[in-house]
Amino acid sequence: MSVFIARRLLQSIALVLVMSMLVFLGVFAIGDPINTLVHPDATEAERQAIVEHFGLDRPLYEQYGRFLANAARGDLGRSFRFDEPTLSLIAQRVPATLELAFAALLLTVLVGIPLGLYAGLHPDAASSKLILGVSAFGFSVPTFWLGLMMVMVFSVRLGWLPSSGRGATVELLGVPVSFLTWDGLKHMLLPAINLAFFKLSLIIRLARAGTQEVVMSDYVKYARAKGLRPWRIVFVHVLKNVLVPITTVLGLEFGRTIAFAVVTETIFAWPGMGKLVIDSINVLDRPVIVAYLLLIVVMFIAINLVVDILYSVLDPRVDLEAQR
Amino acid sequence: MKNTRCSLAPGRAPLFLAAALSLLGSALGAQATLKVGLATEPASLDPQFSTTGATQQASQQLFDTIIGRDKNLQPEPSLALSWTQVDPLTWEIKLRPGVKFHDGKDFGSADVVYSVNRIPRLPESPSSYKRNVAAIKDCVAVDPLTVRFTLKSPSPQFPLDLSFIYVLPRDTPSDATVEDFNKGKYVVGTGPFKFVEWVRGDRLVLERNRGYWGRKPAFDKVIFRPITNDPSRVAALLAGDVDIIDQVSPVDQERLRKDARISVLSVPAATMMYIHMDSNRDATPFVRAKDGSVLAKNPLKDPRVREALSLSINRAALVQRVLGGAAVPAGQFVPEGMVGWAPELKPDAYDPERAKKLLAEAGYPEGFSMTIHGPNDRYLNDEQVTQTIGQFFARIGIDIKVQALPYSVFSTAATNLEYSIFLMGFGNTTGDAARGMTAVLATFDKATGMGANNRGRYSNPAFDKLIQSAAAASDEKRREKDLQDAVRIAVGKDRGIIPLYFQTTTWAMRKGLTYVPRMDEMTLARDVAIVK
Repeated sequence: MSVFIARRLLQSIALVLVMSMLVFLGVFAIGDPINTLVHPDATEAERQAIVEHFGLDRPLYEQYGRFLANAARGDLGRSFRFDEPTLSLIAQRVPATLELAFAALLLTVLVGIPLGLYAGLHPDAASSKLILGVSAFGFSVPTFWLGLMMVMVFSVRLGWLPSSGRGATVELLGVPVSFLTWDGLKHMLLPAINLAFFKLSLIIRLARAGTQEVVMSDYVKYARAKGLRPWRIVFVHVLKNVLVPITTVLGLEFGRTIAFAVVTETIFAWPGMGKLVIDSINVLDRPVIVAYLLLIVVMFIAINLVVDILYSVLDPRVDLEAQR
Repeated sequence: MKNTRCSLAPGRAPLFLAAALSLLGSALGAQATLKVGLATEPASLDPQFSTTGATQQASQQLFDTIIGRDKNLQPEPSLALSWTQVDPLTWEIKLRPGVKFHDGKDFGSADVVYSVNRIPRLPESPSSYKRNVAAIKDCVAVDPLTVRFTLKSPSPQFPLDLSFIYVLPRDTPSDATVEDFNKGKYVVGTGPFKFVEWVRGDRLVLERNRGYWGRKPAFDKVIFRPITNDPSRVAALLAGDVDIIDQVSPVDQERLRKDARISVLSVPAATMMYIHMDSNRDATPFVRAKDGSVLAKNPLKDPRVREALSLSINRAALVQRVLGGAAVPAGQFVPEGMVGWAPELKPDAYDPERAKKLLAEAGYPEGFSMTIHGPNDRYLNDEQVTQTIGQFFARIGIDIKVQALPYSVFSTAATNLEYSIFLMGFGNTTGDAARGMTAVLATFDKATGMGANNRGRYSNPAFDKLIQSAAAASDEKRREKDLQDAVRIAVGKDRGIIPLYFQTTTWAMRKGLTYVPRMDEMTLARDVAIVK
């Protein structure tokens, strides 16, 4: 396993380097940040001073070289707009996004897998048809529409839940979290459902298909013939085999949730990273965009590594050392 | 609110009294906390870091500027009670006595001198206040309540410059960083509210400054929440999560006006939308004859063609249909109430017949073909506005193509003179026409910085002379007349630009509250009042 991890890490470094180059080039190609950043009636001298201050007058390779040198020392630059280190700007936003993503993941797992399992075990029941119908709805409805509808119904009409924001937070090991207060939970419920809905639908389908397949397999038939209790068959023999593909998808989906929660974050004014990045793209705050994208790359690499390790735990046949 | 009031009361009886009073207060509709939903968020809490509206909006709650700005952005007394021009290069200001900072220290001339001198020493920022102190050669405290400024050259707008300088206490360390301010360290002003907490992206919490020198704010506590998504902001108001929201979109306005629980207030804002034309080059990239051949001349160089284009636009319909009424037709650079507004200069009336005649007179009876460009993410409904303008042009016989792009791409190309005709906006944030007209219409000169935004390169020496005369005028009346004459030439006669409309800015709040709408679009908690 340690050889596998070491090899993975080496590959990752190369990947991050290539990505940093692509990101840098891409951000460079969009446009000149001076036009969006500087006050519209700034004089030429003022513009020039800012261009020099940010090093925008330097050739691309020199800017990239300087960025790499700083990055090697753990400094991913300062935001043009806020004049704060990009890393700390992003770090301030990470807890909110992570908390929301975990809540959505939890909802997906706790609701999606049992429902999918149920629908797979009783394919002809009316309730299974209903579950499938809801999941088809979840696939086809755009996130922003669903989010706004939930706000209109549960906040504006019924007044049950707050329409936006993060609510009261308490510090847990120095990190502000909202799931420990009632107010925070109320604020989190709608955005978490909104964010989870698509994934939930996906997992229901995956679990159902997996269950239907596994139920027909020889070892389940054998277990039944042996006279094992139904719950043991379902939760040990069926579930464990259904979980392998679900873990892959959940891993990737979790990464996507963190990286692209921006729609939900915008609708619910949730103070996460997505909002920061969209605003930064709009004004071409290059250092923030670059730092964010690189962090996302690193995160995906880490998630994939964890998923691979989980495989070997869930399925003893998987041999990590043998993988290329 | 309960804590502060009760903990100050020493005995039991006053405690009851306090409770009774607060009950009475709530019966009268007084309210402890005001929740504000805003479309934007400050870049920093250092009041000298960024001139952007979103950042100044926060600075205005916590700090005071040397000279204030009223709702029409005209100078009014603030920390300075009066300002006088002793001679063309010397200004003397008298400060308000008895003002205290949030930490209890006395405010005085040394704080003003410190704050003025701090600005040039700050690191470079994309929208710094350096321009507001650029004219100052020297600034000295004559006595605790008098400051004398010596200027490098005469500047009649000097009071306006001072209305952008926020005053910090003189003991703020010179190495205080933006991060320090954003954590709340050193956020000590003289303004109507004190700092409590800032969680970026979520909330800025302030409490009333009980020792404030001006009118007492109606609320003990204010929470500003950034809700950038327009429908979400409206939903937050309707759900009662916030009490007042800014930047209500035209679509939502219609709905909110019908809602009995909500009041809606609008004001024509300082942002002037206009069409800019490549009017000084012999060849222009996006104008051709109808058969695609190159024209002998650039039609946009002819004032008659520019007038024809202006006459072809039905501004009233544009404002009603495309902007849902959230704008006022414009015929000049600034709206009424600002310096440089010429009373007789009306928006061009819709007259397509006369427009066609003018085109024929100019030698284009059959029209020509052109591409109009515009941004699609910067101003209210900007893409639809550009399309509609294109259709108006088509009606007087011009073959038109419309192209809308993200502002970051669009503005780069427009600044590089790659377009022939395009939609643009200018925010007249200083309350007068001088800065805008200098930037947009003065003859482009890289060295002096004149015409920095003149992306059509309009040029008229008579206009330039008036702008320079206004900049040097020591007397307000003279200056105002110069600016009016200047706009009469550049817009009224030459149509160096075609003004379209002033965007209005709109607030919505729950019934029972009222606000004083400001042309700079800021939402100041001190101006939110409870209707009795």
